[in-house]
Amino acid sequence: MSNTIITSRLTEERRQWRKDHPYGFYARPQKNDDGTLNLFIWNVGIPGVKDTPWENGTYKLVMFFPQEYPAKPPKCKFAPPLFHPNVYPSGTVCLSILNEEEGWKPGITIKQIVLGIQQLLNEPNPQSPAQAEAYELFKRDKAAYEQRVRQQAKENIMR
Amino acid sequence: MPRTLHAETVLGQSLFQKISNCRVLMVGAGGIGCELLKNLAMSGFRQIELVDLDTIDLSNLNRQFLFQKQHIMKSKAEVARESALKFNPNINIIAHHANIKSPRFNVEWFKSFDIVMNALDNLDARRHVNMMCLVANVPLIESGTEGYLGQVTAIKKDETECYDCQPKPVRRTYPVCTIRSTPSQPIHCIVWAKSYLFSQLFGLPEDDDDERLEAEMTQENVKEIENLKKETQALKQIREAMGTADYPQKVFKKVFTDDINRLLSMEDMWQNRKSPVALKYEEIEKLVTEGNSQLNNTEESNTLKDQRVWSLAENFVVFLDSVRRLSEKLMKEQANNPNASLSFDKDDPDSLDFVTATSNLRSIIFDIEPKSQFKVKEMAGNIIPAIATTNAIIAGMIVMQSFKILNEKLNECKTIFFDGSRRPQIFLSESLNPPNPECRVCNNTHIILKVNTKKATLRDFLDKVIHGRNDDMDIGEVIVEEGGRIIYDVEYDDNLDATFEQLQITDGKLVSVKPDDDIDEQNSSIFAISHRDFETPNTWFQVDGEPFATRNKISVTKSNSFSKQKRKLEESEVDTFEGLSRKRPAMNEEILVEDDDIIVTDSGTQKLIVID
Repeated sequence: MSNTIITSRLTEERRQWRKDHPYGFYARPQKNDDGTLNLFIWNVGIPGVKDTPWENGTYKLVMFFPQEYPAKPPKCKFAPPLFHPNVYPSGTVCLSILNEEEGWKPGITIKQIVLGIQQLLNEPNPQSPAQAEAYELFKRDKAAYEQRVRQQAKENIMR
Repeated sequence: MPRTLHAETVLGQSLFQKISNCRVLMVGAGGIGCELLKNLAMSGFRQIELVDLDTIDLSNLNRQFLFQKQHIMKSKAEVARESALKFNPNINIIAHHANIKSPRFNVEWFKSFDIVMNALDNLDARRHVNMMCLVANVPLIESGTEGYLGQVTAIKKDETECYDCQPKPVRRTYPVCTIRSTPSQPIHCIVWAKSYLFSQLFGLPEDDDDERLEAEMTQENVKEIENLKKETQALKQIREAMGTADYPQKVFKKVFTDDINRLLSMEDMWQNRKSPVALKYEEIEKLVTEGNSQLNNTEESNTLKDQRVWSLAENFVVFLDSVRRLSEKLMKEQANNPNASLSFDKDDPDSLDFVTATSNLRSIIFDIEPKSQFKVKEMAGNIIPAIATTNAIIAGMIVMQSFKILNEKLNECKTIFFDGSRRPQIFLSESLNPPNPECRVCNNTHIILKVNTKKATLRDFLDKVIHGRNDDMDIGEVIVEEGGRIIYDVEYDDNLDATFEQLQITDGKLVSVKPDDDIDEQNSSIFAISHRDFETPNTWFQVDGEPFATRNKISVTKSNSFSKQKRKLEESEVDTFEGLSRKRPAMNEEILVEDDDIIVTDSGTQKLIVID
């Protein structure tokens, strides 16, 4: 039996999301082999904001909920990894609200997380770089950086 | 003179009678459990079942007094039973050497007890028993001790807080950079020795390590993190030299000399910290050779060596030797199984030697206070100090609380905090709190669902149990969840024609059904699944309880398998679920037979006795 505190919270998150979620996003628990949905792993799509180099792309992310959730935040990992100063080479997102020692609070909802990540896309935080490639290009050559982001958006148009 | 005369006199006839008829479940036969079983056996309890999955270890014997040296490796539950029966052979004790989470201990089994007492040592099992007692609606006495501190409380569905009504602290973790680059406390060095170096050299290195490192990357330490990854790679290469005579020396030079020198080259890091001092293998070796006679001449018993902080030379010698010993052990295991690995075990002398010496050498490098092996064992093994007296006091309080519950005076129960170091007032007590309305564990309706899991489908469940009972009181759309899996909701109806069994909803599982609307969003109905070989579609289900009762939608359970008398009992139970009536039905001289359970009503005490 898994912990009721977590599953009941995640069931509620799923219900809330079904009833109301921001335009262009998707978030659904992954399908298990037995045909049920796994509440601990969610597949998420985050659209780039309009009028930014990220627009038209929908970036795929996987959310992993730990056994200590909601005391600890979910791990959010872009798959495939994303070219972005605050995304680790493994794809994991570095964002203060996803860090239990910084901004994470048990009350933060999945909706708030995905909106936070969407905002991070075009507003990277140079204070906490997570990958050398995107971080250095961002600091050195903004035009080349944006060019690269636009290219990536094209590669991530949802079919 | 009967041995129970004193208890009978002190407690009074009526309570004493209740105690002798009471079926009690004890979960855990360890520190508190041994004391508790003794108390139960001596205070008039006659029907005791106890569950413990553990076997007896040497380190238990100083306080778990039902166990002796010849019992080591035997089942705690079984030996505790034998020992207790020796001083009171007139009682009935059933011992289960098993995990309380095993499906055979299902809700109906829990329901067969009048009271459950926890004497557990971990959160997971406590949560499980809490949940089962809520579903079965059986009172639970929860307890715990740590050193001089102890605590006892009583839990009853709908009347008190449950175990999960208050959040529990989350396990402490240390930032990887503190462990790998900038330790400042003995525990940092011990965690490094135990979790990092031990698993790199002898275990399965954690795949997650790089990721956890990455998660701490900041502008300042990007380079350091890259270096730490390289460091790990280099160590993996050295591991290939395992078994050669100079392997221990190679490891020493790598982790205590080269890696420290590399850290020192990161000058920024040491501006506000005391910089580490690398160890030099040859210098210490010389020290050891010169002082050799001294080292060997110290005639001290193992216990003393255990309690004393070792010198640099001693740590050096033990480090090299334990690396050699562990390498030999690992290679021996790998001869049989190429994927073999070792894991840290505080009770294995080789791994404890390794962790003690390694952590102390690292402490010396970073100018941190070294620790004795005894202390390292405690810290590395997460050993919570246990004091027999605290356990005995707490076990006594558990029994005192149970008397109040059996006397139907739950309101007189308290949460009792014991602190043996706070004299003279060692006890503090608080009244029991009502359930936390926000609690996601107890603020639910709990129902036993007897069902033919091989035949009934999800659609049958929704049609017969959830909907279609009374149209104007229909609950509307629902979400069905089990064990972290969404089985069904409005946007996910793929499984409607699958049977319970196909969906792995089998005997003992708890299925949560939650209304999809926004009213009362926290409240779910939890169905405890109990398989029955019902044969006709009309009787695939038998519902014991009222789903969504708190939404004031009362309807009579549809089922054609009840006898009239049985229904009378059901309805009384429904009352209890809704909290309208606290008392069990008073039924005179009736015997009801349902499945294999025999329910006998005892007209003398107006109390139900359920016999398996």
